[in-house]
Amino acid sequence: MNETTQTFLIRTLDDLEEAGQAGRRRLYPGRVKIKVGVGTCGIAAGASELYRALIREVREKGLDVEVAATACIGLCQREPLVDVQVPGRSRVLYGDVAADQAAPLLEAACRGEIFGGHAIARTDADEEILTDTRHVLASKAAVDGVVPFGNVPLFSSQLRIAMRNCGIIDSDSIEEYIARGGYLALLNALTKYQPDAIIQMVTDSGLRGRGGGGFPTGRKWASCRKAPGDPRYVICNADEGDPGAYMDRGILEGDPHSVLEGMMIGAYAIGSSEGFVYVREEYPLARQKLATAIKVAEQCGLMGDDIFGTGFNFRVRIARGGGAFVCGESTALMASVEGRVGEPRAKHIHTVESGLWDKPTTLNNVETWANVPVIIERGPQWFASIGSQGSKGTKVFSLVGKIKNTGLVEVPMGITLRKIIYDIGGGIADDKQFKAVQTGGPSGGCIPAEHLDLEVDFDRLTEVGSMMGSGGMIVMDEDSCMVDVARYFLDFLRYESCGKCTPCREGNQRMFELLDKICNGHATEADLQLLQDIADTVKTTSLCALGKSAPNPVLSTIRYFRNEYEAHIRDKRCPAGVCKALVKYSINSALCICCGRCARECPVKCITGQTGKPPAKATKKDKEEGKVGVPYVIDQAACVKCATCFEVCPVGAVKRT
Amino acid sequence: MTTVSFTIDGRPVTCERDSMLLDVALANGFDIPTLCHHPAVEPYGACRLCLVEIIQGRWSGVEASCTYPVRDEGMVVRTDSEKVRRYRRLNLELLLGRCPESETVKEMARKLGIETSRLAPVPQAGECVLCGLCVAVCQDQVGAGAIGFVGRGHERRVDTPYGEPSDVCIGCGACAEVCPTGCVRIVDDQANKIREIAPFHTRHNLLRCPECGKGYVAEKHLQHLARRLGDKAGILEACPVCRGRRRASELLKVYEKVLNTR
Repeated sequence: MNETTQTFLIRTLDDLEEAGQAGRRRLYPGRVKIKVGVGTCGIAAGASELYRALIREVREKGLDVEVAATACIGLCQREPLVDVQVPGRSRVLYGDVAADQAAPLLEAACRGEIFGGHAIARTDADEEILTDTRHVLASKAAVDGVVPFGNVPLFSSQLRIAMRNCGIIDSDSIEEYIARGGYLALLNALTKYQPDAIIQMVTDSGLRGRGGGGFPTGRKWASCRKAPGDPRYVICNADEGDPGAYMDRGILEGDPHSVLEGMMIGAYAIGSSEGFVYVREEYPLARQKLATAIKVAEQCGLMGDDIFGTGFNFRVRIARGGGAFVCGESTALMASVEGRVGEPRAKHIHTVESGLWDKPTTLNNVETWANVPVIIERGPQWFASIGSQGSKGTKVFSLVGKIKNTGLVEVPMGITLRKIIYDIGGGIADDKQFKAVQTGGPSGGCIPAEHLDLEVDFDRLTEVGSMMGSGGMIVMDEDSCMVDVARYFLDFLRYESCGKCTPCREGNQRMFELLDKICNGHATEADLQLLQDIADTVKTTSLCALGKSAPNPVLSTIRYFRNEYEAHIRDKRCPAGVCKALVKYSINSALCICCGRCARECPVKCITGQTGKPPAKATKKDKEEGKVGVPYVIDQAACVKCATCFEVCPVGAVKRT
Repeated sequence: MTTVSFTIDGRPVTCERDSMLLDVALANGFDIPTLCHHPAVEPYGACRLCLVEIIQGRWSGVEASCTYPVRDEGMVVRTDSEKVRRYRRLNLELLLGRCPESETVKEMARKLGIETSRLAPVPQAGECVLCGLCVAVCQDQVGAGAIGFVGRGHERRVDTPYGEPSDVCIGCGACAEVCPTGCVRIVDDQANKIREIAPFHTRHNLLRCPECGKGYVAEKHLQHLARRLGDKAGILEACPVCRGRRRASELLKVYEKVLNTR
């Protein structure tokens, strides 16, 4: 449990340092400290129960141990995650810790021992990327039998800029944020640089928008600064709606001040004193963390009037999204903030000129804002030295699907897909074959194995028919049918199109219908042509980026997996065995051992037979005693093709054709 | 005033900067099909039929001309290129699949050489192409805001809030006036003196013309106009036909007087 938060009034560098010292005392309290990752992913895995159990245990036993909450470090696969920090020793990260393990975990911690079987890696020193310093935890590095972070490929290939504090600090504590170099960039920006110099730094850093478009951030700020109009606004887009993607949630829950600090620097650069954070309604914890951060920053004088005594004023308000995917599109988002229907408009007149309430507006995504303080502190050259030719810095990806290490990873741009999927992700779950990875959210494309060595950046992903999007990465194995995958995403998009323009509204629905027809085995070659014609039209003529990218799942799967479409259309066959209408399960009576497991597990009870000795192996005696079974048979008319029998049969007698 | 000179289908055109390309093309006599464009409302960009190809140096793209502000000196606009025809046809085919009974859509499709859509008709879409004109005119011109879009994606439709009769509708019929397909209609029941705005299930008292006895205006509409006209409201006291007749007879008296004094 943390001590009551002290209130600071921060006006000078000295004030900032004093708050930082308080933060360091919280981060490294000189006694045993246990941190539980209580982000949304941790809570789903039982982290709240564990956190409460630890506090109860400490109180009941009167232990000299501090229990603190932090957010997600990214390794969501192993939640609940716990960090145990004993003074003078390396910090050890444990995974899969259940609430009923609180007592043994604490015992081990107090004895300075390793909690067996759960250790993932140890940290010998905390890197502070903003100040380019290290906080050494243990002079003698060794902790028995636990590998250092640097030796685990999952962590060693990562570089954390946007997620620098995620899973390390208590995101409700402004002191801990300041202790790791927070708000120094804002102080320096306000006191040492003119707005134009800030814009130049962001331009030189090569930072491009992390929300999907990849537009150069510096150029956006420069256009906005030049545009006439007053007041002017900055907006943080936290309407992260891609299925399976949660980079922004991770940052908002883990380090909301980094986003606020970035926004303030941006506001100073474009001449704004008012901002909005548009958070989707489905992120209650992120919203709560952000609201706390805003309140605390206001109390400290880091938000409001005359920040750092420089005359710069800034206030930010939270706008709640109503659950529409399309509101992630900037013009739709602004309409929604204004209280109108969340619908995009044509963007020939840019939002930097005429955005929120027709005033100059700079909108950036959560991750983009979180990068800004680091660019100011470490300098544009440092930032530009990371990444690839056209894409600088790092990118956070949410690595999900048929992958061993599900979670959030932050890697330098230009890293290969293979490295992300195999080194960091640990490879395909259950050691199956990799088939494709879908990047960029529902309207991204599916990239096949032949492009595994592709260097991941904005331009390369576009070249192979996909996109960076906001950083979703869904890994698919051999058991995925690519037509079914395309249908799945179009099913999402046909409901999430706002319905304003003809191609997106009608086209997405029609593409879904055609994909459904293919999956059901009723489609012809003409349907495939029509599907491509519609996809081309929707891509070219839709009003906003949602429609313009919606056909990507269709076009990329046709491009790389045309044979699967043809198998569905010509041979009425689903090669992956996914499309129910084209799959038939039957039992080979010669192999059936009459165990009856399939019939017991069948949810619709459509398998009949009788348990006993299989007829082929039955002896005369068995027959006399009536112990001979009857091989099981599936009633095809009643079968729902759930594949349960296929999976449970111990001898592989169930065939899928 | 800053002007921009460019060409449309090879013909030089000059207009004020930031004029919308469709307005400029139509004013210069070019024929570009559209369903969601109306001079009374702001350009909306929904139907995607007014597509044109824009070539600007090495860049070229297909854009909806109604929302494209003219800014680029020397740009080349093609209203009928192969590309434009291909995409326009497909969008029209999509609309024809949605509204196979709409004469407006069928006629536009015929002009582009489409007889039937390859797509199955959408049940219950009726003849509404979701151009948004009725919504825009009700909100921005009338100021009533009685109707709006409901639902997202392919489930989008125009309706009153909760599908209930609207209490802010004044029965002016502007929605029906701007509807390109005629799916919004004013239905007058002269016998019972009721004006209904179909399909928005909103009914109004239909007032009789004191001269000819025919129902001619919704009560709320007349009140709305009276408020706006102030002391000139007296001119509304009869139906347009009778007003015209009255005016004509007044004029006739004037003429007779003039003639008689000669």
